[in-house]
Amino acid sequence: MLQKIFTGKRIKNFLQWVLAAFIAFCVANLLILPYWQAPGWIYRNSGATSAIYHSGTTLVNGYEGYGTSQVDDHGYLNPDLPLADSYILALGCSHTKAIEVPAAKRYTSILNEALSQGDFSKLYVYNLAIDGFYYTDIVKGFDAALAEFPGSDSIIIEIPSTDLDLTGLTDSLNSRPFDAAMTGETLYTSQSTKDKLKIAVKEYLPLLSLYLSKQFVNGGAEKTPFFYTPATNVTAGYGVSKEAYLLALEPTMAHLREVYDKEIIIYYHPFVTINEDGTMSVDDTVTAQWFAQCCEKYDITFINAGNTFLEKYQNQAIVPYGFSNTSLGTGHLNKEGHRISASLLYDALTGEDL
Amino acid sequence: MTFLTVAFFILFVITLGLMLLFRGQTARQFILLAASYVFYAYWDVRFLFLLIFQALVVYTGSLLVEKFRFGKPGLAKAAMGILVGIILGLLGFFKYFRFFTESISAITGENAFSALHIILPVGISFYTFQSISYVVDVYRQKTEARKSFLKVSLYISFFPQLMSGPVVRSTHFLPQLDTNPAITWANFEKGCQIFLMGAVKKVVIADRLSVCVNAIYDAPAAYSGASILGAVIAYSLQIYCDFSGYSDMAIGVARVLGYDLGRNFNLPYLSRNLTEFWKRWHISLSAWLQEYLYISLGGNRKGKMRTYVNLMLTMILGGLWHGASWNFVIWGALHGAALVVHKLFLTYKKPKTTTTGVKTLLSIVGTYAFVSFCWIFFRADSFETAWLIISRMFTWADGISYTYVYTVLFALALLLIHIYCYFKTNKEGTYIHLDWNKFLPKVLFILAILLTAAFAYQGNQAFIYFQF
Repeated sequence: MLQKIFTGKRIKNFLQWVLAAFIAFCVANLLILPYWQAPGWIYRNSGATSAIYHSGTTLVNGYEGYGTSQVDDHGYLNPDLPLADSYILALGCSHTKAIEVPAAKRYTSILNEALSQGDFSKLYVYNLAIDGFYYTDIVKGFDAALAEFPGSDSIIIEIPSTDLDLTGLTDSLNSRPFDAAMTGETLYTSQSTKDKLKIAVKEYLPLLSLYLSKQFVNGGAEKTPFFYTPATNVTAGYGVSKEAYLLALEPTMAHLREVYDKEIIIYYHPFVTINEDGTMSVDDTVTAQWFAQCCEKYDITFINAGNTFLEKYQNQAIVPYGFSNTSLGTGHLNKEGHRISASLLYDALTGEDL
Repeated sequence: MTFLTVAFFILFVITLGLMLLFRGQTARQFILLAASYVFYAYWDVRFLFLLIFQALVVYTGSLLVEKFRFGKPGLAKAAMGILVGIILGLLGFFKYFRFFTESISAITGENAFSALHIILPVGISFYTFQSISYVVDVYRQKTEARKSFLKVSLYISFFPQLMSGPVVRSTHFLPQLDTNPAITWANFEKGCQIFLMGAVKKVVIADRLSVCVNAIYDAPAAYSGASILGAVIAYSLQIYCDFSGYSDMAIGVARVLGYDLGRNFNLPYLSRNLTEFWKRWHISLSAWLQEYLYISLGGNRKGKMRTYVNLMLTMILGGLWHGASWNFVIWGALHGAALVVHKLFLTYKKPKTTTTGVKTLLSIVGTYAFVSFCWIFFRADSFETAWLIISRMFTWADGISYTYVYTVLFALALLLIHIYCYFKTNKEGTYIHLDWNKFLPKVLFILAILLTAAFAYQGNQAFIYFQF
């Protein structure tokens, strides 16, 4: 029986299948490069963010929108240029990271170009953003961000929701420490061989990375970036009183103001819904007003993009979210959304139209 | 349970393994029936009893029909009529009860049946059609009533085509159950490739296109006329890839198990007229409607006017079969009317044996445009939505400009494939066959699997025809 199974022809056929699988796997990885490429992701327990990308790598995203990005020395998505003497630090989540749009179309890049006045040898706006870097996490990493990027003239904090988790707000006051050894290439060098191998697999085998990426494995439309939802509920079910909200929020703003005495702009861009009757509405909640009141109290500029979004839709049928390979009105900020954001921020920073 | 799940994969591997282990005809059929019941019960175990009940009714009833067939034709006809009535009654109860009670409630203002929440059993339309096919064929002496309950129940509930077809006629499938088809490497090779092709159509093309279609059909008032036109085209491709994708997967699975389900789609968008379209689209349902509805109504045997009326009736009932909605009635009526017009046209102008390339191209484009237009009624959730879509599209209304990349990409790809098949295979669509004895086809097959998994849309999209 065994002899029958292991005849030369069968073994040859089996080996051919193994070789075919190997070649197909290599070819598939090659073919997928222009569609998906993910740099290694290195976790850390200090620093502005809880993780950074592997420096010097490239990120390609064709899953939602399309964009390519370079990872700089610090592990964030910026051109590898020195910081200008006077620069702005932009902290935010995946909307600021903006891998869905070409690098030049991000609001940070548009602002950078506008503020640079033709000097392209330096960075005037530094994009410090990772996925899920929402307000509470930003507060937590704020001190470390200032330590790693000292001397900024202004700080932009981008938030997609003002419905915040009160426990998270309280917890955010336990700032993450800063450790210079846990930044950029230094952090990568200190990784174990096993972790370096994991990073290499992710970088050199994009097919595996795509299979294993969160949106891919989780399935479920609501979990994919097509139908991005913020970390906390934006709906009416939020159920928190104004007093409780402000009680938790105020100390965080007091902290921001205490450690940073220059301009802080909080840029809030609510989600939108395209309604059955053809109108577009902004998914705003009452907490946006409470949040704005608190900002005012601590001399923090608060920008709510909601009305501008509505204006743009009514006048030009422009929708700030969604892409031509997903659906409009859902997901991340698109090119138009970034252009609107850049315009609002430029106005707040300079008092001029972009 | 659907084909593209781990649960199905496990069930299939176990079924195939057991069939390789037990080679007897009865044993294999028993394994297949058990697998079919598991497959169905996985969705909702309560409706498994309905499936078994229907099989029992069909089995005993058809034996009666056959018994009366010789000597007591009147009784045989009555028995066949009662049987078809019971089968259609079950379908009607589950499919249309809610529609009727809601209509009655709307008229009377009283909700007398509010306690009854009828769920539509998945696949009921398909196994109902197969049951009718068997009963009528026994009556018409096209097939013999089988003495084996195993065979009859397996014919009705064979899991690859249980949920969404193809609707296999008894004369095609029962003879296969009278034999013991071999499970061969050649069938495995072909079956896997057909399955993969179906999976590509479903998860890579149809499900991706659903993103654009759903967005625009949910709020057509927001989008520009051009964007809506894009969605109409996208839906024509989505429904084709979704339904033919499911059919291909069913055909592939059955092929691996040694059974032939026939062909269900044959490049329908290459049709030059509506008559040809219905010979290429959902072939098994078209053939069923022709055999058991159109011909039963008299077909073309009772004069021209009656032929046209029968055509219209067949298509309207075919539309209603999809659901109790005016949109489906309009969809069926439009197709019926177009078929009548085509028949009338043929009456006055005999078709030429050869036509010029330009005329053929115009015929194909015209037929595709008409079919896509009719799909608007099929997809829209109400007549008002359908009308809004049509009016905005034809007035080139302003609104959100949304050009969905995948509509363009897949439309081009499908166009090229259709052109290739048109010229390469003498106007007949074909399944691409990679010879696994050679090395390069092995690489291509695995590459296709890897890329399908990579580009599969991950949202939750049920097969469109599951709802029918």
